[in-house]
Amino acid sequence: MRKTLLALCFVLPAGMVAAQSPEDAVKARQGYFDLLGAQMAVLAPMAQGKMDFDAAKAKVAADNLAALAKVDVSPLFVPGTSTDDLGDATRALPAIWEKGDDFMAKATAMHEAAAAMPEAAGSLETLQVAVGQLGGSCKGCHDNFRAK
Amino acid sequence: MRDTTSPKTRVIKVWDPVVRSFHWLLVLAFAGAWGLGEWGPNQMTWHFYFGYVIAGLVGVRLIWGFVGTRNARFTSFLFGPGKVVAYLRHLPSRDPSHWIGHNPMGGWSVFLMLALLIAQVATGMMSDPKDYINVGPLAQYVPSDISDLSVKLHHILSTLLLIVVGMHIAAILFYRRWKGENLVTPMITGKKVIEED
Repeated sequence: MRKTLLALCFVLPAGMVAAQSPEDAVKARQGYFDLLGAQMAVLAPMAQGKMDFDAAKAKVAADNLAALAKVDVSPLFVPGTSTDDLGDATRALPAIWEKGDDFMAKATAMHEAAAAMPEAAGSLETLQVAVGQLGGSCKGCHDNFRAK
Repeated sequence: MRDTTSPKTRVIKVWDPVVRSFHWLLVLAFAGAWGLGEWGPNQMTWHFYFGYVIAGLVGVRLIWGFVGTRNARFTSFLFGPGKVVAYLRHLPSRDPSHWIGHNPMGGWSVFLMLALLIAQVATGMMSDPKDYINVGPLAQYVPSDISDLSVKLHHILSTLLLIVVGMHIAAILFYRRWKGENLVTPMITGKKVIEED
């Protein structure tokens, strides 16, 4: 998984250059958030006690998150790919482009929270706090930049 | 026209302690849930707790609507359109209504508020906002398009609820200023001063 992700770090940006059509850009960024979600789907149930804490599994997912956070997905947010342009095909609100600085600040918050995951994944107590931080950064951005 | 000869008045118990407790606890819980939903921290634990309190309060009120005191029972304030229109015709007059319990218009606003609150609790519990920490406890048991839709409805309903609460307060002010009728004190003390015909 980690190697795959590492490979993605190199492949994704290359793909981004090729991803010219709005549909491709949407598909690629949705794939990115699916990957983030897949890691959280491992960590959140552990943090919430719905699944037994497994340090090894937690470490893998946490490392993946930290790696994914390093991927610069800003090229995928091509102008002309908001809900105004593409309707139901995306949930990216026009505010992403209208308030770019604010959007980048939210992205930075996510990057920082994700970067803290590998260290926090060592124990359940620290994982719970870190998952709360990272999940909170999801919400912080969804509130204003993702269509309900 | 207000009668100049001093009318006979008497004090009547209109709201029982369950109704009054429900009302003011709901005010607190609704303010808490709404405020936290809008401006609260990204980890919405306390918003959830306030939501559960509202669920419990509405649950008690629903039971009380069937087994409670007279004015608390749904059957005592379920009025047909004829009664509502007749009541509305008298609404512009500058006299207190001296109504005991929920009047035909107020009765419908109670049903509306309860329905909106039930819908709000239900959609909140089924919501999955895809942040992995603020997922409603029932979201895992419904299809993902339902948990997605619930997030959307939960936001729309929160605005509708705010509008209805605003109308509720506006109506109380209207009765106070225009009709010279105090509706707040009875909801605190349970007692209302009624003029006798």
